[in-house]
Amino acid sequence: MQIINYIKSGSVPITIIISFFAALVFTVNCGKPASDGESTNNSGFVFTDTWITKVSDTSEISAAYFKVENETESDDLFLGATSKVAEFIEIHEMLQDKDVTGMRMLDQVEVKANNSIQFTPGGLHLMLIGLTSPVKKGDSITLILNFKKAGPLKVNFTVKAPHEYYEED
Amino acid sequence: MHIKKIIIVSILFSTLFTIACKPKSVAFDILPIGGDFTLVDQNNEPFTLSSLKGNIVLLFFGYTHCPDACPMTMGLLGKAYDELGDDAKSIKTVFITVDPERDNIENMQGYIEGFSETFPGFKPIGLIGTDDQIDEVIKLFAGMRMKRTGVSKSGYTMDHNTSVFVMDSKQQVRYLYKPADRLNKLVSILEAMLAAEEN
Repeated sequence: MQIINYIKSGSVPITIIISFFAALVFTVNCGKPASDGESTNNSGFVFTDTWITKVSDTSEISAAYFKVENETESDDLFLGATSKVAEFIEIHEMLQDKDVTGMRMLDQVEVKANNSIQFTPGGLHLMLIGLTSPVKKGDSITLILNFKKAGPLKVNFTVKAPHEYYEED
Repeated sequence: MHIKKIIIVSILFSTLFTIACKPKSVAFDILPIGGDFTLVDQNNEPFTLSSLKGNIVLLFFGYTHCPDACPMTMGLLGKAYDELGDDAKSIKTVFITVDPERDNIENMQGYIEGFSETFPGFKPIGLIGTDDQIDEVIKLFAGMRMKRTGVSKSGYTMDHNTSVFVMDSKQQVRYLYKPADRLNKLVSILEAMLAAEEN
């Protein structure tokens, strides 16, 4: 009611004006994914930080990283991926024992309801094996990520040079 | 009177911050590992480590079929060069394969070329050798390598050390940098070592 009085009197305090615009910005952006994310087929899964490592033109392998948020009310399983750019794609986990690192292949990764999983250097990655063509910096590459319940989801990945990962370190 | 106090306290803080920001001339202990060796570089030329005496050297082990740790370490070192600017000119990066079975001149050359944007003007040295030669070098640095079969359709993967061996201009190993540590830690270590070299 106080607000109506302010409007009637024509002297609206600055805090109310700022609050109004803040609320407006929030409402306009509400429900939109992050700028580099993409919601796929209204699946309830949101993918962000989707990138593939640029390797040499002669390389047969690369790695893909992403964050997936399961915004549905049920747990799901990420079962793996396919793409035209690679013969095989495997889910790998890095294992560190003191100073020695190695990789272990996983069959699936659980993505719990209203939770997220991050594939990131030194942790989980997708290993692209048998590249059918060189991956160039800036390329957009589509991977099909397969989930047990959500099914196959098309996700675009951008090719980045490894040092770009540390840009915001 | 109040303004005077503020000015004095500000000057004191500025002095403290300046001291804190300067690279510390920390004397890193000499680690009892390392030594000279000869392998073959990506240009098919013999390479002897002692030829880099006078330079700070960043040496690490990996292989060209490694999708995660190796390219990301390259990226980390390249970014450190970028942060150091001209000061990085005297720092050399050496990448030694732990996979002599698959790594040859051709793919090592391609691999190093692939990082030309990561290291603008600073080409890393990629080294290959026979099984025995590689094992000898790994032994010098108290490291290990192990082939794991049946874990990937890529044929096999290699377990290997991930530390970057930071060597001074006399080729004494002074620091084992873990790539999981932050970039600014590596940059400050290198700044401190460069400052120590100057003195």
